[in-house]
Amino acid sequence: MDTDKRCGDEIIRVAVFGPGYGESIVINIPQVGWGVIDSCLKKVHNENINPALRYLKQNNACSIAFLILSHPHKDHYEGLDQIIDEYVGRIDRICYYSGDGIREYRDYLIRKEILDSPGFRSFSHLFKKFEEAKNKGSQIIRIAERTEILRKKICGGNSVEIFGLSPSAESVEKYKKLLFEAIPKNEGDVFNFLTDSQHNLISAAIWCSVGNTRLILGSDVEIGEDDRTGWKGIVSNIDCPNLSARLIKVSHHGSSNAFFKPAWEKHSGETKPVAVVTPYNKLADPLPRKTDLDLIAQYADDIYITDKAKYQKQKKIYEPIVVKNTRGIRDWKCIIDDPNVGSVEIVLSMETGSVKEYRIIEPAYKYEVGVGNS
Amino acid sequence: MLSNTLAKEFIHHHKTLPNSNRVISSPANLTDITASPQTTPITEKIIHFENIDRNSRIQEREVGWWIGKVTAIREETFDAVMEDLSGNVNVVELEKELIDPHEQDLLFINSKFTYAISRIDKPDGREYKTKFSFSSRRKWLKEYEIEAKRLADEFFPDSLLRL
Repeated sequence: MDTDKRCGDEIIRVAVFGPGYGESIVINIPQVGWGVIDSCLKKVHNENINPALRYLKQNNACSIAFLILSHPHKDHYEGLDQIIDEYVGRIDRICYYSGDGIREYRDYLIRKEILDSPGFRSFSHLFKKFEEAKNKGSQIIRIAERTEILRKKICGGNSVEIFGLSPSAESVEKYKKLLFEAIPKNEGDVFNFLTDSQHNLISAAIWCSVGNTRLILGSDVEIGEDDRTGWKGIVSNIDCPNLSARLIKVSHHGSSNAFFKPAWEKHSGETKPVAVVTPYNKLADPLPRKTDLDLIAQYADDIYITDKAKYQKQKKIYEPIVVKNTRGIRDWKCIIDDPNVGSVEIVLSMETGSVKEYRIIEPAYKYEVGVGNS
Repeated sequence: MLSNTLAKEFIHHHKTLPNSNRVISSPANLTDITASPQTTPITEKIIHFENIDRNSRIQEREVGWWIGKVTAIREETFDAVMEDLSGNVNVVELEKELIDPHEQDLLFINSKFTYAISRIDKPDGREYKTKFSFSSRRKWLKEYEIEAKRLADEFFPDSLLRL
């Protein structure tokens, strides 16, 4: 059965995937269809699984109403090309950051590739896929603060509205300046790498309102340096919509860099929302951290985490002679690659916004405050 | 052509030669086990080996290899994520002493490096060696401009910026 625009059941389905590196969200809205926000891959037994694509196929999705790349980071676009390949000619809108600074970002990535590490080619490959989709009829939208991802419409008596909460013009300007300064221009210039936080300046948080239900998908938006950037900028914007929501995809893997109390006060203004966190395991101290989750728990009804970092001793992976002869390593943990792809699927009522159903697939789990299960 | 077994023995013998010129006169039994057809029996064959320098027979083999990315820098150590050739991901804390003094300025967040363990077989025994090296370059050279232009033209022309 084509489940793209089914009506009558008056429910919104949101599935969040985050296998420890990368994240992806798939959403189904009656009479609108399927939306995809970002993409990730999970390597299982040397095979790359695309959880969002698999979910779309399992649900017989025939077309995609909107496909969003919240910001051009690898952990948010890996596998997006596969989704485009599968649905090319059947994607209504593709929204991604392509405003001021994209030229500088290209030049930055080229120089980074020459001096340091690859990454530019996969980025260019993705843009070629966008071009391919455009040639097959997809509308290309430049995402920014207050950009309409979906034109406001009434579906079965319910209004549906989706737009970007960020990046602001000031964030874009700041990012462009940082890139320009980082790019070496003359012989002997030193290449200045931007930090991940600086790259997050152009992250697009998504605001989605369907009937009486609101969802906020925070991407990697961080607090911001002033009231014109990041969450500070979103909250202080005079045109900011109602930020109370029933579901929050917590921004930037639940890090303290992204926790902005006034934003959470607004999110929980009407009722405490359900929060979903996608972890980032490739750190010595992975995200999310318990202290940060406990802060979020003050404003959220429940917190679900899409993956659980597990480690094992190096002796279990490497030969004793290798372990014995390493030098200069003080602490060493090997990430256990869980063969399962966790997901958090939430079904919400359009009418009341109440959660009608949870489907948690392990290793995703519910965070218990105080238990220390992060 | 020598039989396979003999070839192995020969190689083994060759490997265990002492550090001197060796002359092998073909023994009678060598002719018996050579592969057929043996058209002209070996009556006398002299093989000369060049001087073998013991040091030149050092064999080095990498037994562990990782590519890493710096994720945090502390006073004496730095954190990194290292991935091996099989895709195993490790989170490690490494001592700054590993870094060659000439590469100190390459330590920054997100810089890439390789970490390898080599097994070195020498005539006088076996040893293991750790190698750490940053793969990043930081200084821009004029000659890189040509490559930068080529990459832009080939992979990301301006038309892709204005979709």
